[in-house]
Amino acid sequence: MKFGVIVFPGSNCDHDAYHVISKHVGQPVDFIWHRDTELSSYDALIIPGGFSYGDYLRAGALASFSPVMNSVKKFAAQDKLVLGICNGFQILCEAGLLPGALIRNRELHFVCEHVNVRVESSDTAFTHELTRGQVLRMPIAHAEGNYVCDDATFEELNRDGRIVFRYCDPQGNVRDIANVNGSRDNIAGICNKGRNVLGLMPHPERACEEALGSSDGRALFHSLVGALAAAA
Amino acid sequence: MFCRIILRSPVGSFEFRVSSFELDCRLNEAKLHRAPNSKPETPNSKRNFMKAKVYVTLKPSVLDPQGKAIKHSVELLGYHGINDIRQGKYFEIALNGGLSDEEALAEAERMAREVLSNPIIEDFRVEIER
Repeated sequence: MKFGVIVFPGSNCDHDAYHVISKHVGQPVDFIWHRDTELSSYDALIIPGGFSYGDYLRAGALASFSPVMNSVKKFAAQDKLVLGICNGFQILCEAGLLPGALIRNRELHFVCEHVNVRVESSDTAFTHELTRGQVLRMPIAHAEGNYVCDDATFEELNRDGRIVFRYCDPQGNVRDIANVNGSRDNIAGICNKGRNVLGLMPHPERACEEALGSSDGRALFHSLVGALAAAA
Repeated sequence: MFCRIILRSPVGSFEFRVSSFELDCRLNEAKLHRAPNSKPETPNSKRNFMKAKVYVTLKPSVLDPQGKAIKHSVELLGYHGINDIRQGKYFEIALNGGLSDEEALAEAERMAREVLSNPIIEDFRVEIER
């Protein structure tokens, strides 16, 4: 199972993702520069966090026009797995691979802290080893993580169980006080219709070692590898 | 190969010998360091100048926390009678003057729709100026 971590100018969690894939899940992984377009040898792609293009214009906007993104769209259309973390989530929304948009946090500040998210769906390749209602502790680090979408999209996401993570309190209650950025209905992560593209604001790759304060993120990557192994 | 350059001025004439390579470098340097207000080699006549102005604003349904914070500060300064402040973006695009008004508008609108705005959260308005 070969993983690819896409690197844009300004990506800064690319090495964290690479480290987790190579060290914790023990799979081959390459960095893919944003001008490369050949993705056929990969089984799963990670679009990492960071500040691609300095967040100019809109967070993730300029990266979504990079040459590699056309290939990512084709990759996703073949039901292959794409995980977008933080800036990666913003890029996936800007590229139209996920619905909605991520705007400035409700309180305007850049928020950098560990938060709790509740698993809302275990029906994805990324979460099938987790259980619905399970609480994961992972860090966030963003200023534009406030998820917005129109009512029709929201109803569709809800109906199809495509809201995968919600911000919650440590007991797993989805409350406004746990909503760190003002996202609609505490949304922290969603998937596409095909359930093969997932975007989330929290950083599972930075929550894979106890020394970093949490290892809850590992389950996500183990799910991913399990799903790939089952499909192979 | 060397060039001989003779400068004639009221205080006398000066002669330089420079290699053609050096001459080339000097000329390039002169081009790069041309004063910003000096005329370009092919001057744009007023007819050739065209500008698209693109205004991008958040849709009314989208919350604008930055606008809210600005309103709060403005009110703290004693300004009154403000109902709302919304923050937007403004782009000036210099266009090739050879385009017709319709072509320029179509091109700027396409750019605004596909790149400058995110249609999920933003609206835009385009003006063409000659």
